[in-house]
Amino acid sequence: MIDFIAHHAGSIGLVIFFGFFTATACWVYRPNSKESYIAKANIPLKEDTYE
Amino acid sequence: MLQQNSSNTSPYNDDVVRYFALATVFWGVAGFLVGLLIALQMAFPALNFEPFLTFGRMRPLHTSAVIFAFGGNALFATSYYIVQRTCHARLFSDGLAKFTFWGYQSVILMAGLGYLFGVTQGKEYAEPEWYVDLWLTVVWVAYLVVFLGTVIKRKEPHIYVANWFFLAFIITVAVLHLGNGLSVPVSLLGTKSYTVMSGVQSAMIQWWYGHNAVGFFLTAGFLGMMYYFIPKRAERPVYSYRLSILHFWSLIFIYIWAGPHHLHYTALPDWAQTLGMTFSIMLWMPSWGGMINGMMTLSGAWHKLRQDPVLRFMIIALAFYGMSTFEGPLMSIKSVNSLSHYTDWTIGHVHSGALGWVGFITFGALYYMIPRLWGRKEVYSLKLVELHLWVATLGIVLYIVAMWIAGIMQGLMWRSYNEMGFLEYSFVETVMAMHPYYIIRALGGALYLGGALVMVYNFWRTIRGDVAAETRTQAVGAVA
Repeated sequence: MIDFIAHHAGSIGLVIFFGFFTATACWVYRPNSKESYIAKANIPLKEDTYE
Repeated sequence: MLQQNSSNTSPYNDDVVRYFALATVFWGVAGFLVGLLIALQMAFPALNFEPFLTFGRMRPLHTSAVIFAFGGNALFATSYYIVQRTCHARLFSDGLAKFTFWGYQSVILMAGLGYLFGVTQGKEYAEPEWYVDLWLTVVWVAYLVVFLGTVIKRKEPHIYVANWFFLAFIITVAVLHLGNGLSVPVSLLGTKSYTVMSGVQSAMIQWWYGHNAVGFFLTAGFLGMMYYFIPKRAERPVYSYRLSILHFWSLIFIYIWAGPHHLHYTALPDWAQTLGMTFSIMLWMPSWGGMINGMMTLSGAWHKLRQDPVLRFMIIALAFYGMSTFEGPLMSIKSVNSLSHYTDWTIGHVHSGALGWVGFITFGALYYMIPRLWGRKEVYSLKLVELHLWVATLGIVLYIVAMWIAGIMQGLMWRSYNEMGFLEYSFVETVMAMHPYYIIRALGGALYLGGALVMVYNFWRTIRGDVAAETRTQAVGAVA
């Protein structure tokens, strides 16, 4: 097992990193999410004080 | 002075932010001044005064003062300012926040005095000895508790992206500090210690730490500032919030692997060097993604750049960020590195990031925050902000151009052979060739320091409550 991982460390790393990146990209660009991201982007522009 | 004005009406703990903001200004000037002194020592070696004020002791004083004292206080100030306003919650525990201030200043003093007296671990950017390391760990855990405590008690359901960057910076720096700081004191009451690792393992741990000090201390945290202050100052939301999420995850996933590029052509296994190089090149993409995201925030409002020198500070910071994050991957390529490594090109590269990116985004943040922290509408004089901007920009250009020329010349001189196979130049000849560029570099540093002194004057008048005639007319003009 450890030998397999050692021999394929590069490819395994590639799959993990590329998989994570692709999953993140798919998640943030999921359909019907645009409105919620616009709202989040506006957080700093709300009033500086609460209540 | 610190207590007056808005502190009584603001629901936030701005007292501690004011302390950190003033400390940022103070340590900034001190760090730039020591930088200028050591630049002059390089040009005129007679300025080395043994034993306390030699280059070898002053250099870590400069690097620690600008990175940890100036940069660190700026990170504390802005993270406390931003986390409260984007979470709509007061800082968790006023007492602990105050402790982080005094605790952190004492770390700086202990470290700086240690260097001058020759107390050092000899690890770059981690010179303080074991007892300072332990104390910093306590302070840093308190910082994490204050920051995370505030995030946890937030009234805003979503955690704004700036806070993600700050949290990644705090946690990663803690991990780096613990990993790199592992050392065994020689005696319980003595200052001297030795690191647990040795040989190439020690070198790899050192540069895993060292490069991520750049990536997380000088980049992630300052990107947090960028994601808050540029939208604030431009009065527009960030260009793409989706891109900011991609930016965050790709940046932090990739940065942590880039360290081995500091050890090209050493005893480090070849595969590790290539790994470091590959990740450094990949890092170009998230870096530029972030830069573009910040700049495009001005999309449709570019005229603000012409009118507002504070915003210009932040956008020029991003331009320098883009430039140095292109230069960095380039220099990590082994064949380029074989020319650039150990030369002044590296020093120039670091300073285009440090003076241009870290310095300018901090100045922009301070020019935004300080008037608000003291209940003023705007800084004393925007004309002086403009003066600071151009003097400092000219200083950076002189600095990095001098170091590009010096570094490449140095690298070429070191590697040139004559037809008999002997080295063409002796080492001292390469040093002598650097002399004019070292003077130009010192001039650039002097301009940068001069700009910072203009800022100090501007803040002093702002805090006193003065308004320059020109700012008053501008305000009237805006109303009309």
